This record gives sequence, structure tokens and C-alpha cells, in this order.
Amino acid sequence: MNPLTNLSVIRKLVQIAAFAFLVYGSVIVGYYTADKLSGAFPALACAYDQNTADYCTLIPFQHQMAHRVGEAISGGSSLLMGLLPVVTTLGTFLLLFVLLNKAFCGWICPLGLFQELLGAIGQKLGLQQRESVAPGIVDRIRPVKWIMLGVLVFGLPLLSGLGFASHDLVGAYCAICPSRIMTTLAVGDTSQLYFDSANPTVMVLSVGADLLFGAMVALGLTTRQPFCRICPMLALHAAFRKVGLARLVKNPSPRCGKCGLCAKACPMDIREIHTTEKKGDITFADCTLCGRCVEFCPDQGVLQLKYATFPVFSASPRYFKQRKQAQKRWESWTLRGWWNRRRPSATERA
Amino acid sequence: MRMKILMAGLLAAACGASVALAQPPARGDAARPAAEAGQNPGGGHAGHGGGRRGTMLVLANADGAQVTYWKPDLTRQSLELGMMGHLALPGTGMDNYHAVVAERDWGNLKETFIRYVYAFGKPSGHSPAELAAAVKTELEVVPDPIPREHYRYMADDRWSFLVRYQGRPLAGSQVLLSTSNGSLLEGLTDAAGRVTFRLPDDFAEVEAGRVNNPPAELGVIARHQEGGREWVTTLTAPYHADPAHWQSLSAGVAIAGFGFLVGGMAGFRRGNDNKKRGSA
Repeated sequence: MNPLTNLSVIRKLVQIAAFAFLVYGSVIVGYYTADKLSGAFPALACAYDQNTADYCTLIPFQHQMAHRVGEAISGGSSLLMGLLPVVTTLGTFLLLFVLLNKAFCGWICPLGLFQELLGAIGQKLGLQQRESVAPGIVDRIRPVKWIMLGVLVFGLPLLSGLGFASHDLVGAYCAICPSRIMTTLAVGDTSQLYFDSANPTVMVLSVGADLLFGAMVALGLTTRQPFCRICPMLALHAAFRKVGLARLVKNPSPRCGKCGLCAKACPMDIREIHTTEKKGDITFADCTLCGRCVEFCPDQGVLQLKYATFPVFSASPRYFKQRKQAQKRWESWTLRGWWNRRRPSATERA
Repeated sequence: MRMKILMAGLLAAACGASVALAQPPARGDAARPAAEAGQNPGGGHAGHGGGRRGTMLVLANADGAQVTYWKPDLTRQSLELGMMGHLALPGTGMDNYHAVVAERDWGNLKETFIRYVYAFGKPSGHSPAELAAAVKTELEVVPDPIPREHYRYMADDRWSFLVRYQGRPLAGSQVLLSTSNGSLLEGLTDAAGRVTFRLPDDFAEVEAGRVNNPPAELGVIARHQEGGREWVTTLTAPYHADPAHWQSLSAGVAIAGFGFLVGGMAGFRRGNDNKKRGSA
């Protein structure tokens, strides 16, 4: 298979370009806050990275909940004026989000690429598990992203602004975000990987951030997209996914109930892609529009990536066959397999 | 008698210049100058340090000083000094960095102090790069860059400054960095007029947490002589204690390492579960 016709390869190239732009892009857009692309980007592009080209929208949301909404309520001033910047941020976010929808996760997010690269390393080390995460675990994990969004992005910053919580919780989500650590390390800045002993609140937050980052790196070697599953940005995307122009569309066939290859290919373990009998837009809350389910669907046109009404990429038996062979070739060599083959078997030793 | 604009009386003594420009101590507490004075020290972001309140600077013995307030869109307004040299920066309605330029011309000597202050308002649509690039006086020290949102001058960090004379880089010029904590560093500008300093970690008593450590003041001072006339210019700014005093990288790495072990064990356990399921 020509790699340039492989959707996963194309996606990886786009992700690498997006990573370079978002993590190092200040050389293009400029250094200062005012120069940034939007200030409310729909992916985890971190403001703590001095070279970033844009900021994740979760940053202004947290600060506005604390300093505008919370302080407007506690100060007795107009709540409408407090909400205005939140609405402006949401509007800016939506202006971009509508263009790519949840593909910001699967195609643009720097932390998404980082986890995929960990997965590739894990695969080559022979650690990556091909089996999907057990449905019970997936079901238990799914609500966590909403809790992250509600509590860490909106709740605690609001409580901080109201004076009911520590000021250190204004940026509660940023304080534990693994993208903050990853993107700053990517530009050679170690200042965000720390244990903070200033007070109990920041101590807990810094320990949580470091633990989460370490766990994400280890889990990324064995399990696909571990942090994406609990990312509050995924939840925010999910809330507005119906307005996005890019979408995953299904035209169910009678064979759909049998193979389940689409669900196995899904890095977010969305088994409903396989089981749903719904016709039309099936962009699930956890979908990142990566397109792997479409790639691994063997039936003509059953799954499609569409942009508005235009099909961009459709399942086809021919592509499926080539893609399956390419995947087999990619998975055929692992360090663990090579090592096991090198060791003489017990019978040979005897 | 030369103008004396005192910034807590600290910078001038160290560099021989007689002018300074800074924020006043808040509520009579000389140990807490910038953090409570209205401006977010070092140009942080909205709300931190009471960033939406007005900003007050102090200039002492500053009779006759000309003060110009540069807005992000490069429009200017003259400011009048108040009682006791207090300088209230008016609201401009514009968000982003503004520049306060205090000048006093002695004929054969011109002294200038410049300070970049963050003011809040509607987005100005202008980058601080424009304000930094604008020629605000004959000789000026320009932050390269001005600390961005989420950043501020901190001890032990390296920061660069440009020295410009009549808008052009001044190469080979001696530059002093003086702090209110008593440090004095010397540097020489390169061909591009740039000089880089590692800000001194000279806070005598550091407590854990940024809010518990009031910022000190730094001044970057340059001189130039030409045609029997001398210019002395100082860039002033607050700088903060190094967070490494209460944040530990090695402990952070150790905790992340522990997280790695926990994540690795979880992955290993899932692998075993999968094998059991497969063999069942």
C-alpha cells in the first residue's frame, strides 16, 4: 500500500505538522498573547509553553469562571457582564470547532499525537495490547471526562472566584493537565515538572499532575489514548459535536452486526460504532474522528467521514484489504518478538 | 539640582543615576510594593494581583519631569504628577502592555525611565511587539521580549534586553542590571544591541509560595555619549523569587516515576486479564 494513500499515515503527517505549529509556532505567529491564533483553541495547546502558537480554550474558561463570573457574583455586580467574556470565549472556540469538529482531537491535539507515539513505541517494544479495553472499564471511565470538565474547568475556578475555595484552584485543570508538562518538556523547559511545597492545595495538585503524567506515559505504551478518554476537551467537544461540519456517518448493512472490526480499530474503544443501527451521523461523544473505524470497515460505504454533506473518505473492500496488510506488516516486528525468537526454545536447549 | 524620581530609593544608588520609577508600597507596607499596588507584577494575566484595579506609580522629587503614557496602539498622552510624586495611570479601555516614559532634560544630560505596565480593558488588537519596537525616546532599553502572559521576570531566569539609540541597536555598550536587593551585574551589548542577564537570586528571606514573596525591583541601565551630550536610560520592572525555592524538579520526576510504575502495573494487569479472557 502506498503510504500516502494510507489515512493513518496522512493523519500522522497532519498531527506532526500541527504539533510543530502549536508547540513551536510562536516563531510564525509571534511571541505575545495578543499575537496568538485564537486564544481559545479547541485542542490542548498550552499557554505555559512559551513557544506556542495558540492557547487551549480551557485556560480562558477557568480564569473567566473565577475572575469574571465568580467575582461578579460575589461582588454583587452584573452577572451578565461577568458572563460576557465566557460567551466570547465560547464563540471563538465554536468558530474554530465548527470547521473540524472532534477532528481537533484526532488530527490536531499535541497530547493526542504524543499518546499515539507512545502507543507506537509500545507496539514496537511488544507492550501494546491489541485487545480493546474491557467494556465494563470503558463504561466506568466515560463519565470521568464530564467530571473533569464540570469540576476542574468550571466548578473549582468558580468556587475560587466566589471565595469558597483557594485561589490556587483558579487554574485547577491546568494544574493537573499532562499537556502542560508534555509541551513544556518538548521545548526543553523543565519548570512545569515539579513538586510544589508552598501549601497543601498546590502540593496535592502538583503530586496529582506528576502522577497523572507518569501514569499516562506508562499506560500509553500498553493502552491506546489513555488520557484522551478522561480529557475535559473531549467532553467540551462532545457537547457541541452536532454543530461541527466534519462527522462520522454510518449506513448500516446487515453484515454490521457480525464482524466488529470497526470497534476493534477504534482507539477509544467505542463499541457502539459496531452495534448501532442508526443511519446517518454517529459521531459519538468519545469519537475523535480519527477515521480508523472507516479504514477497517470491509464493506463499501458503510462508514464514511463526511465534511458537511460531502464524503471525504469512505469504507471500501479494496482499501480495507490493503490497509489490513499494511497493519499486519507494521505489527509484524516487535522487540519482544525478536528477543523471543533469538532465545533457543527449551527443546532446542535440551 | 537633578531630578530625583525615587523607586523605593533603591535603584539609583546602585547605578549612579538619580532617577527611578516604580510602584509604591501598598498600605504603608514597604515590604510589599508591587503585588498589592494594583498592577499585576511582571505582566501576568487578568485578575491576578488585583489586575483590574488602577495602577499607581511613585516618582519622588520629580519636579519638571515629563511623563508620557504610551498605549498599545501607540497613541500617547501626557500625565501630570500628583501629590508626593504619585502618578495614577488612567484607564485607557485597552487591554495589554502600556509604557510609562519619564524624561528629564538637563541640557547636557537627559535621563529617562521606562516601565511597561499591563492594563486591562477591551482587546486592543495590537501586539506588544509594536510597543516595544516604537521609538519612545532617544536612548532606551527594551525588553526582548516583555514577559508574556503566565510569565514574569523571576530570579535565576535568563532574560534579554535591547539597547537602542535613536531607534538603532547600540552595539558594544556597557549595560548595568541593578536590583533593589542590592545586586549589580554588568553586561555588554552584542552587534544587535542585545544583552542577556541571568537575574540574580538575591532575595534574602524566601518563603514558600509566590504570593508570600513580594517582588523586588530591577533596573537595566544604559548610557550613551555623543556630541558632548549624555543620555542615561533605565528600564524598571518587578522581578520575583525563584520558585525553585519551594518547587522541586527532582521530587517531581520521582513522583512522575512513581506514576509511571502505577500506570505500568495497571497496563500489565490489563494484559493479564486479556490473556485470561483469551484462554477462557
